Amino acid sequence: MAKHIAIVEDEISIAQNYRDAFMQQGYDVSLYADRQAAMQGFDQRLPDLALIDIGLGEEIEGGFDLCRDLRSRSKTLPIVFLSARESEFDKVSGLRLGADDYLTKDISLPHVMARIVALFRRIEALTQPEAQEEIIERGKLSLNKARMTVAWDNQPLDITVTEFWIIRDLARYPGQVKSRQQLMEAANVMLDDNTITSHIKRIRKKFQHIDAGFDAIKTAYGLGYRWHV
Amino acid sequence: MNLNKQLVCVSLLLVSLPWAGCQYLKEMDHSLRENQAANLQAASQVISQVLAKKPDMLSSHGQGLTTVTDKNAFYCYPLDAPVWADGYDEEWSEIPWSHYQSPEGSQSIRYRCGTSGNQLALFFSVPDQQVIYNNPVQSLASNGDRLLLATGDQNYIFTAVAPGSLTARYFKNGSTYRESRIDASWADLKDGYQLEISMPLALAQGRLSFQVIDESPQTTVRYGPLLEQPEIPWFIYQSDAAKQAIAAFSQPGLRLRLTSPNGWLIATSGSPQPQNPPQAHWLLSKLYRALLFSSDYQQKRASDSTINSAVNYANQPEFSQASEGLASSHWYPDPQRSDHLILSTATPVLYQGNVIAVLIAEQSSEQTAALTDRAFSRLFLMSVAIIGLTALALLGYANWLTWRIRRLHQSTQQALADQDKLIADHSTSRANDEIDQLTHSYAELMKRIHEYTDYLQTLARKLSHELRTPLAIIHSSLDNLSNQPLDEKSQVYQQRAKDGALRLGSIISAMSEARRVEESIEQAELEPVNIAALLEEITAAYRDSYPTSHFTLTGIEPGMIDRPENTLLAAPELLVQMLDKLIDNASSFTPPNGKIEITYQASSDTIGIDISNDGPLLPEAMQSQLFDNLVSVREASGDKPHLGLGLYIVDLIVKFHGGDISANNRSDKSGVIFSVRLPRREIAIL
Repeated sequence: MAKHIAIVEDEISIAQNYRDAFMQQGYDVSLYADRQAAMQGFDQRLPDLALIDIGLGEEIEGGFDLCRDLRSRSKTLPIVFLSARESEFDKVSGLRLGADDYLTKDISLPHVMARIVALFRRIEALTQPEAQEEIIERGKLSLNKARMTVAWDNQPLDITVTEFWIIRDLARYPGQVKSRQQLMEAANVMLDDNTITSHIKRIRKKFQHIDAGFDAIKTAYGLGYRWHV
Repeated sequence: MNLNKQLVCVSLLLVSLPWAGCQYLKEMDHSLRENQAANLQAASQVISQVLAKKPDMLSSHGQGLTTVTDKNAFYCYPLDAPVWADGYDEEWSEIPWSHYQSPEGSQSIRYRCGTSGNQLALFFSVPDQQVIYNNPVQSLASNGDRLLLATGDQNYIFTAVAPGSLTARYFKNGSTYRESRIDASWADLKDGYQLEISMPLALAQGRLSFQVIDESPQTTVRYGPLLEQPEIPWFIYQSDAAKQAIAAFSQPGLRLRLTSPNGWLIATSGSPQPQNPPQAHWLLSKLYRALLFSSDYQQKRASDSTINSAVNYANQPEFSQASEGLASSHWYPDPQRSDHLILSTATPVLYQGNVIAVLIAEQSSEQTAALTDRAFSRLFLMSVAIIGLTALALLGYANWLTWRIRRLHQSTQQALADQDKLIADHSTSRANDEIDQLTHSYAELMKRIHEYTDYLQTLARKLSHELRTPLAIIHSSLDNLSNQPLDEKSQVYQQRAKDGALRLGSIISAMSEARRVEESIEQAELEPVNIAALLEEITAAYRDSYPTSHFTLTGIEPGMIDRPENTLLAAPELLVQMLDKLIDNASSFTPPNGKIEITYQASSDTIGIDISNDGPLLPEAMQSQLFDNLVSVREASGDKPHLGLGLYIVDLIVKFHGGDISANNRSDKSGVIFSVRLPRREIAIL
């Protein structure tokens, strides 16, 4: 059965473009132009994944409300924010509300697609037995590629898909400097250097939340970052 | 010339104030003097009218002075002491001679006449080639050289038998009598004789005349005024009665004189000089005279007329008018004090339409001068005070104005230098004048500029935000299009559209870069960073990134990298970003194979990083605003969008670290240097 994706987006052209792209990949897509319509749709049937714009028509934070509501209905439903807003504040707010990822609108469709696929795969992996999973171990770090989960010192980290990809790319070859460009490609984002910097910062914080002495991600000034064992 | 000096120059106009005062004083002085003349004339008029009612008082003869018009009338000078009739003239030295000339001109007699109290004294000097003495055997009075003195009731004959005292005799009813009340003395001269006579004043009965009888062996010659004018004229003298008559009117500072119609002084009373002349400060009065009386006084002093000190007024200009019945005045220089004048007023005393006497009143200008003197002193003091005060006030005012203008200037400069500062609006100050309005306008202007800059800054953000959605439509549409079956040509166009959209995307993200840096600054955390190590590392990276430029790093000694003074509390990502921008800027201006020098200096309280590159110099005018937002000194931009944000971001980061940055041309003009100074701070600012 085809996965059902809900796109909540007030810009009809974008919504339709995304719908066309997703449908071509074999997904079932519902479009909602505002929060009320989306809520009604969700009342009838929860989608398998929700792609939500933050500003919905008159409601400039309608997407946040919708996310809160969806998360209350399902703890596992992947929610991805897709917004023109790129401020750190919005990103942090969105992820705090339980979104799985926060994408800005300058991301390309294939990149969105990759993320959707990854999210679905993670959902699937979570339902599968752990036996056949590919696990990368780097000292205290353990990384489950299929479930897209990261654990430090056996404590799981709550991370987004983008963050997972960055960590995986860094940890795959410890000691090797990964440039920001490489990390962007690995994370399927087309962002500027500052965004990678703030991603790295956020990732470090998440590790430091578990282990205050965490310093495995080193900055190579002018070059990028590397995983330090 | 600054405002202060200008105002001081303008205040010099105040000097016209005392000048105008002086002009006024001159006018005042003039009118005061005219006034004085009029007053004196009026007073004289009154006195003369009073005198005219009692003509007897003017003369001891009781006949008035109506007939005293004869030019041959005797005038008896006042004598200092009684005369001892001895025939010699030692008592008479100060009395001028009167002359009698016979009509034929052949004979002339000199004589003197004087009074002292009740004594009437006469002194004759008669030329005579051959003095013939009286022969008492022939007759007592009718032979020998003799002089006949005619008085009111008797003709006395003076003849001597020998030099020495003699006896006056008179004829009465054919007999010869002697008058013992008359003393007389005869003295011989080489060619004539002298006769000195002393007699009681009353004996003369107011009239005097004489004739000389000159005997010679051949003939007897008679001559003298008595022969020409048989009626014996009144003689004139300064009588006590007349003096008392005018003394009643005398007052301090006023001299009254009475003269006969032909100008002989009859009485005098008082002095023209005030008793207590008011004294202003000598310097002030000197200044005042110099200012006020230059022209007027010179003119009067130059006039040849002088105040009369003699006993005959006949030649004085005011007198000659008065003798015709008209009162008039004249100013004379004061003989005693050179800077004063004396006013002389002559008024006729009219009795039954005839001038019987002339009253001359004299008064010093001291009186009016004292008034103007006082006025001048006051004017001088007030002028000095007013000029001083006004000059001070003007100076203060000018200072206040310049202070305000300077303050406005300073706050404008500050507002220009630091965009965060607005001109302090001093509109609360009391003065609602042009400067205040100017301050308002400046504050308003700077506010507008501020708003405009703010608008420009937010415009970039808003644009980048607003453009992102349509760009997303283009991107997603192009992405979808690539999944459609397209012919080759369409694919080319699709690729071009894609490239264009990507470029648009990079422009948009460049536009919002400053805001993202501001955001990351807000969230930045300070940590100890070894700047030297960071520089070493990053310079290596730059060598790879910019292969066309030669990088050198100086100031870091090998093996010294880990020393603690190289460590600073900082946000390393931001520092790197700052360096990226500076190096990017430097390399874009550096010609191929040019040098970029990075110099590191650590001192006790700052760490300095200088980045210096070959290349074009900075325009002088732009140096101060180089780090402002949206300012670019680049002339032509290449393929990369350039919005003038790079150095603004650098400035933001440097400011976040509490440091400062400056851009200067190298001293040898071969390139430019950007110098960053970062202070060591113990307290992290979050």
